Amino acid sequence: MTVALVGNPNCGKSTLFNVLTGSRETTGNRAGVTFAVKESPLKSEAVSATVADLPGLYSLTSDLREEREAKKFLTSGRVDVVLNIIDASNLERGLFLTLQLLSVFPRVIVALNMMDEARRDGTVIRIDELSRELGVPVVPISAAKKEGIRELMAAISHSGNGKKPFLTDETCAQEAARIAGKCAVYPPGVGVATDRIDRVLCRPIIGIPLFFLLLFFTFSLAFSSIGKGVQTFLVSLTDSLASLCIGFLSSRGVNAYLLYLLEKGVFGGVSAVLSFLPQTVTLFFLLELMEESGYTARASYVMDRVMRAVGLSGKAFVPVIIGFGCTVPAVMACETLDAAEHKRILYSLPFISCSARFPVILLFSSLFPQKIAPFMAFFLYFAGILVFILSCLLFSRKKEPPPSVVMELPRFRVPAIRNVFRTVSREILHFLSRSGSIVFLSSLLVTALTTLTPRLTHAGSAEESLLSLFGKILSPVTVPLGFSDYRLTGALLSGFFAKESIVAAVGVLFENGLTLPTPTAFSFSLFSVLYLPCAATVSAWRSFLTRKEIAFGVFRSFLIAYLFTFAVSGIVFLF
Amino acid sequence: MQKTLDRIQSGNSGTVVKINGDAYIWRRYLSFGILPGTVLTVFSHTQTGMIVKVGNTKLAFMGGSSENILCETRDTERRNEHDRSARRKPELRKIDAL
Repeated sequence: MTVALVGNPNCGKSTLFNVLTGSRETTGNRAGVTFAVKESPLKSEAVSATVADLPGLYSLTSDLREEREAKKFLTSGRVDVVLNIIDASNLERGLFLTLQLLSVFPRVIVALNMMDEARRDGTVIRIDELSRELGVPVVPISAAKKEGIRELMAAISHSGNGKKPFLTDETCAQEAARIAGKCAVYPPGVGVATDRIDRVLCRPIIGIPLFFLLLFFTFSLAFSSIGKGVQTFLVSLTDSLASLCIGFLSSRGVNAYLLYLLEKGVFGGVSAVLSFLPQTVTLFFLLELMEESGYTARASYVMDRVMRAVGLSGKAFVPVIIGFGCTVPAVMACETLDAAEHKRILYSLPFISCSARFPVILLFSSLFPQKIAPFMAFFLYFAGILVFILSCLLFSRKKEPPPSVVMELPRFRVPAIRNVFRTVSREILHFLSRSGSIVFLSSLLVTALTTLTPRLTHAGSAEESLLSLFGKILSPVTVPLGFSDYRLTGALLSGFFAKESIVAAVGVLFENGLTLPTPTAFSFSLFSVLYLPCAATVSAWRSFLTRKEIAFGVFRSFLIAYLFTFAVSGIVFLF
Repeated sequence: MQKTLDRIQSGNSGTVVKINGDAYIWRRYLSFGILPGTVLTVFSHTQTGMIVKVGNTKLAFMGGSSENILCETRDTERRNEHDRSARRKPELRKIDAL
């Protein structure tokens, strides 16, 4: 049996999906968090079923791009039971979709979510009356607080059959209004707190500076003594683990070259990335707080004018914010945008500094004096935004103007700590798994390249190594940017697999610690945060772009990053 | 008095009379609960666009999307409009009259 979770965007489908299946899917307080159908078995001994979490749907008759995935699944013939989730604080709008679902699917159950909030607001909903009007079971729940889940499971297993007659859109809307008016009483003053906050936050003069202030606050936290303390602890922990491991393996007579690879390549590289974990966690935490509170949608609204100036709608700011976490989900989030905006944003998104670039930024900004390090980090981060804007502007103005957009602004909520920690812990696991896979392999590769000659024999010195050869081939390209050290170009090569690999490669290649002259540090750090989209992003592009367009996008990224670094470094060194 | 949604002042309401545009736009608004007869309350205007309340839902209209909706405004709105008009310069009032 397949149970499809269907409902308006931001009514709590993914939260309920996580509760019903024990999954850890992304949740957030805005429309469009889920953009692909996710399936998982129902966590119940009594009922054997697969639960499908569908992207949000306002209506069955609208033809919105972001709703196509959900409709495709609903019309696939795989759906046995429709579990329609309605936000209790917005019954009328939820019922519009319910009435449409009732005329198409024989087995529908209505879950009235966020009942805890509705009760707190003083909202009264006559559940029995609502169930009678709709002719299907209505179960009051709170997915966030896991209330009413047992009753919902029972309703799924006992749901009956019976389709309602087809209603036109206008009749559906009128009927939804009638039923909501009859079954729900909303006290005056609901959402007053949100209104008060909106009056301040939705003014661009406050909203835009606030957004950048929040970013700067993250950097200040990342450089605080707490972050540094945890970082020192992690470094000493991995060092002790490395010496234990190496000692054990050398006593067992393991080949000296393999031990060298393990010590320098694996422990040297991976621990360099892991040491930035506390700072990365801080970034994830802040992004998640913005998402859970409902701030992300407001940020899109206040940034609309700025985004239009570069040929995008305010809605495109959502992928930009997601891009601060990871470019891959940001690319996937473009699914909800108008097709006219696709190329412009897809080619520009990789310039936004993702969390993988965070360790790179922190490493290079730490080369500057302690007092200006947070400002340097903020500049490198801000450079990503600046080049994003530049990249968007480089698109022809003759193309279609950005579409006009209507977007729902969710109610502000105090972020549910459980959700925040669940998402942050998932992101940390993802970060660790990348460190254990891609970063592990790339630092192993970099170590191998520094110890092998082009004839694959052991290199007597670093100058004879394969990496040195690659570096010498590439150095004419990087000399105008102010760096020609083969170790730096080698680190850039590894960064294509995953951006944090640059840190790992630097850890491997600069055994006595990284020390660079300030001009070199500046231009290299700027270029390394901008130069190429990572392999995972290129792979995600395949959903939207042809191979030719992807090749063009990679070349374009490199060229823009190159010219920007050349220009900015030139200006900075002049003064 | 009928006017497009973008011309309604903050704090005032209007009843939707007509939605201009093709079936796509019509359905888009319909799915947000906006159809002829719906009462919309303007929450705020900014340089970015406007925020409108439809029942308990708050919607942000950006990029001229509010120009598609024609509303009938109530007397208070007409009075406010009149007050504003009275404060305007005579030459501008002539343009208004045109």
